[in-house]
Amino acid sequence: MIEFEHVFKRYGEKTAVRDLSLHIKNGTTCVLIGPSGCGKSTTLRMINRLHEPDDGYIWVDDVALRDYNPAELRLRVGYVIQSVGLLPHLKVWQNIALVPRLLGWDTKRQRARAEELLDLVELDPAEQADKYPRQLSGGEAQRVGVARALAADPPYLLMDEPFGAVDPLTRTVLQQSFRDIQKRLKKTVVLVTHDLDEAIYLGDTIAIMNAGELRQYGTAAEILTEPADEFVRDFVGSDRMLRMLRTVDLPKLTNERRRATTADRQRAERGAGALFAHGATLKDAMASLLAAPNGNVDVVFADDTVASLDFATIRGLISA
Amino acid sequence: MTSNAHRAEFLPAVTTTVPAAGLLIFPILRVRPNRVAQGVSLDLWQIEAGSGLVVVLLVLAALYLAMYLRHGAASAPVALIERWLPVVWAIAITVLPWIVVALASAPATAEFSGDRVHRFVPGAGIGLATISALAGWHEVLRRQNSRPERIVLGTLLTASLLVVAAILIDPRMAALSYRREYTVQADRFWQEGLTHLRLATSAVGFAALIGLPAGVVAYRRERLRSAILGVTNALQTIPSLAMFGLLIAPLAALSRAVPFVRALGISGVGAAPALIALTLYALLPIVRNTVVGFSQVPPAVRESGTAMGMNGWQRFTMIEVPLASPLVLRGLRTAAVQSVGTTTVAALIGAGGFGRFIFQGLGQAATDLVVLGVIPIVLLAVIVDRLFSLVARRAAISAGLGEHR
Repeated sequence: MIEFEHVFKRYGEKTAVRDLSLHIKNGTTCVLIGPSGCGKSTTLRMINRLHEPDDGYIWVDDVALRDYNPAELRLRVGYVIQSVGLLPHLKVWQNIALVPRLLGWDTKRQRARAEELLDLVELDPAEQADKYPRQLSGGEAQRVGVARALAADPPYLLMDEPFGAVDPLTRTVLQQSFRDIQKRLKKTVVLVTHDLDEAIYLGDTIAIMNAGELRQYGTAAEILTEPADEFVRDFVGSDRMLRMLRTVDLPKLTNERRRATTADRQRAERGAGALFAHGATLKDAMASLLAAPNGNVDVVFADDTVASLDFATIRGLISA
Repeated sequence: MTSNAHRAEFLPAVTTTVPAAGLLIFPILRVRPNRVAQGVSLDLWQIEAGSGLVVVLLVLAALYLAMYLRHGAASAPVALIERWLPVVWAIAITVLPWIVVALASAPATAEFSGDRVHRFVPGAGIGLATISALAGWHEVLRRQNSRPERIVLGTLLTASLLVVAAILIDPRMAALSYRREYTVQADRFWQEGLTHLRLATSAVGFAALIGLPAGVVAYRRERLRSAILGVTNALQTIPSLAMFGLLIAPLAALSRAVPFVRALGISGVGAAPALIALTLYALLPIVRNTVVGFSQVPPAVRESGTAMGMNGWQRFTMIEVPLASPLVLRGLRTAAVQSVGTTTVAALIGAGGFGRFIFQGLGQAATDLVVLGVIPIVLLAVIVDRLFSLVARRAAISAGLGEHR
């Protein structure tokens, strides 16, 4: 659990964070979002004490943050930054094993842990472990950044625009695999982004900030359907109902189902009027629907069942 | 576009061939009764082996120039010739003139010397050929060569230089004036060489001991940075001779006033002021490169170290030092090469070193003696430079900045 209690942070005349109170439950992902300079990164960096609050308290698991030794705290809080910040003079596995090394693990165990994590972030240890960071693509480097943050199995994970520096296609892939990983590991994640779609896709809760103030804090559905004020309404945009589509996971659909046939699976494979539910949201279903000639699309579930969706079903799911 | 590219290649072709024409115009050998006398000059056509050299070099030079005047695409054999012609030329212009000198020197010296011991010096023609050779090798090595090609070319260059060296130390070349000078001074030569090396290395060593910490402090404390860099900059602007001179008075006074200092053998002249001056000179490149080296460590990398839970010392040793080391090494390299050169002047205040031959030679108007001092200094500087470049490449690779695989 991370709790902000009336936290202020000032830089000279400017107040970067004003009276912030925020409660983040263990095992959930909280996304901080807002325009540039809204204080979201400052907020994030107060959690691992790269910045110190001028006023107020931050609690981590009911211990006041200022009672932690900063270096020890950071060993327990994984950190992923936008520019990745991999150390160019260390190999990939040494980068990943950095925190274990600081914790005094022996080299063999460091290496084993690094390979385990490369597997987790879907990189081939045999191929990537001995490379240097400059030999990696942007997407690979981001994966290594995530692996490094997870190396000592910290209960907390801070991510500062972790997928900001890669192309849109890679970003989508990285978001998907991060969501898969998070489903398994159940870390307490605080993620900063300026990409609303990313926030909706990854965040269990979303905190919208502007000019150092928290404007609304809630689930994606709450923020999209009941914007707290004019700023939030503008921020989520007039297309907010479209964004809602991405908040609903297809596997969670409770429609009437029938058994899947080989033909269904083949159609889903080709993307012809059908799609697989795994890893997909209503947005994907909507896209298929728009391309489907007959006004409905079949969703094939992991348990070999099929449900049929049309526009009316989707409208019902969104307004529910 | 193509004509432009052509022109860009034409200039090196001229600089690598035209000076060699000096072999035809200027003497290639001078025989003298002693180190100061004018002596007798020999031109290329007065030497039996000369005509062969002329033919070989003229043919090569003509081909070389023709290749830059040719237009259009080259057929495969022509391309092969054009690929290797500059290399053949460089080897020929490096080695052949010395072979001619070697062949001509013994009979020429014998003819002119009679019963007295004569000596000979390579003439201006050889000097100009050497310029051609330098330009030729520069041109050959400057091209975008693949790694195996670089190895082949490096081997050929080394082999050519070894041939020249072998010629120079051949017993039949004993009358070479520089060798005459060396034979007279052999013991002193090595002694002064050792002194030179000691002075230069201890100066760099002391400068590193002071400069590396000073550089780190300057990088960390912004307020001290301009002060530290200002002092080292100012030191660098004092002419070396003046610096040596300035140190004489205070050191002499110190030596008079403090018996302990005198007991250490420190006085206004000799090794102590030389070492101090050389150390002060070597400070600037070391301090400046240390500051620059540490400053260019990306803030994101430094911060990610902090965020990973490193304390200040761990961040310094695990991130900043390895990432700054390539530039720091470059500073040490500059300091070392510069010290080898500046140590020469230290001979003026009685510190010894190869400079002693130079200033002695200048005093006696004995050019041969000057050259005996200059050659080892140049060689030493080149060797030091190469050694550091090897180490620096290693450091760059281990800093993840250089080539891999």
